Amino acid sequence: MFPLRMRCTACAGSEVVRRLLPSRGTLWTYTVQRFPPPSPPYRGSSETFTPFGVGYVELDDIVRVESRLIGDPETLRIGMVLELVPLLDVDGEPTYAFAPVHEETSK
Amino acid sequence: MSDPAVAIVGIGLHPFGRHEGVSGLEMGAHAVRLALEDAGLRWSDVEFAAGGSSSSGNADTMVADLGATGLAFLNVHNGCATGGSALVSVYNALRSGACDVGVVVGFDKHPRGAFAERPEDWSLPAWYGTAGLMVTTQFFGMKIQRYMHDHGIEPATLAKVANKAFRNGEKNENAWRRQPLSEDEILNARMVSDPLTQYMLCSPGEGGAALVLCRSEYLRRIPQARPIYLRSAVLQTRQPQSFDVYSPALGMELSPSPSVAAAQMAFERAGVAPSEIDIAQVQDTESGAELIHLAECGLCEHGEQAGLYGRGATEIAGDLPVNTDGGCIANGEPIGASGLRQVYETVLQLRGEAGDRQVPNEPKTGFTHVYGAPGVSACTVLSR
Repeated sequence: MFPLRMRCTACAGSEVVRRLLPSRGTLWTYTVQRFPPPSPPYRGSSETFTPFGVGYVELDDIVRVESRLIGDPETLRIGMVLELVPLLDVDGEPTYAFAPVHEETSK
Repeated sequence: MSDPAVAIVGIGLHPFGRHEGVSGLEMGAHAVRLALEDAGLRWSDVEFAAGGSSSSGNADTMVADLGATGLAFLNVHNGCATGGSALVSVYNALRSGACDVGVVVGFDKHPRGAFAERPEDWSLPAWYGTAGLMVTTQFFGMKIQRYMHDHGIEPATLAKVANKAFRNGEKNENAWRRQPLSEDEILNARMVSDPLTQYMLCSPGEGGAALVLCRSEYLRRIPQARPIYLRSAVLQTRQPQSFDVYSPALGMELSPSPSVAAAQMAFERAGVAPSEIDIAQVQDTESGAELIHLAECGLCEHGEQAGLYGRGATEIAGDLPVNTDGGCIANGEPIGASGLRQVYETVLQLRGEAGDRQVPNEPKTGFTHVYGAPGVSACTVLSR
């Protein structure tokens, strides 16, 4: 379950255990956001907008997390290895993204 | 097949597209008047109505235009399944015997561009929206990207879906986009959400659709009616590990989509097998969705789509005509009206009144399917 919820989506139970997720994973699927998302809710300028990748990153055998993807969206491929990187939003608030791991080759 | 309890006796549509100066509610009321005229019934004959829109007002206020007869009128606000949910409500009310005549109406009037939603309205944290993830087209791009990877489907098949939609739309006087486009024009158009180009995606639009339904016993009181029977109408929502619109995370073992459950239930309740369906309208929010939904609804196997579209099986004259009025791609998507447009088209085809786009050999059975955020699907089975 991600993000953290107070109840389980499968059984509605409230005994939720926190678990630290791996910071590295593989890209399960992706797309490229090529137009400025409707704002609100998006916090970003449509004038300075550049296309960004979005995908589901498979973290071991635990969960697939949806994330912004940093780097050249033209290089995205299913199966590539990615790692967690911090991302600051327009207000400087920390959020997260994943970026390619360059020293490794993926299948 | 089970004995038919409920018949559709009237259908009405306000053309889809852009209609400056006409409100969504006015389009809905227009569709209701046409459906009543088609049925040979009056608004005062209607005991129960259900309907709604996503962003264009409360359906029950159209009594100001139709007549404040005091009838029971249920407002429905259920995303892409708004029309389907209204239809399920009226279908169940008629089956239960609570009333004899019902009306279903759906309409919408959306501004240009992608839908803007508040994460808080969807049980999601605010950061999901501020980060730029609250965009429906991202889901459609990501779902078909993985599906193509798993089932060996190429972008050429995505182009065939849109090409068919615009050719069918050309034959539909109520459609929005009636200009045929070649597969190359579709493939080489501006990329919107990879692998989907501009012409593979439907656009939010405007329109209205309405149906008049009655209990089968009531048919003897309207001898002029040309009934098409509603064999089942089903609504289902998502399971915990499903891959649906606005999902911040997915399980490792994916649950079936709500489309799978809704379609299965609709076929079971109708006593009709998917292989017995002569004509189908499935949610084609974009080209990939049509391919995936055909398989999820049991109308083909996963991975069979490239072959089906390659040999023209889903064309109007094919083995299984799909989205014969041009679907969402040619009609656009006024959310509240979209699912009822599918039923309107199916009734027209089963009556044999679809003109230039009539499916040959007198189709006897039809199927409709909608799917939308955050994981909701409504399906129907119809027959002559």
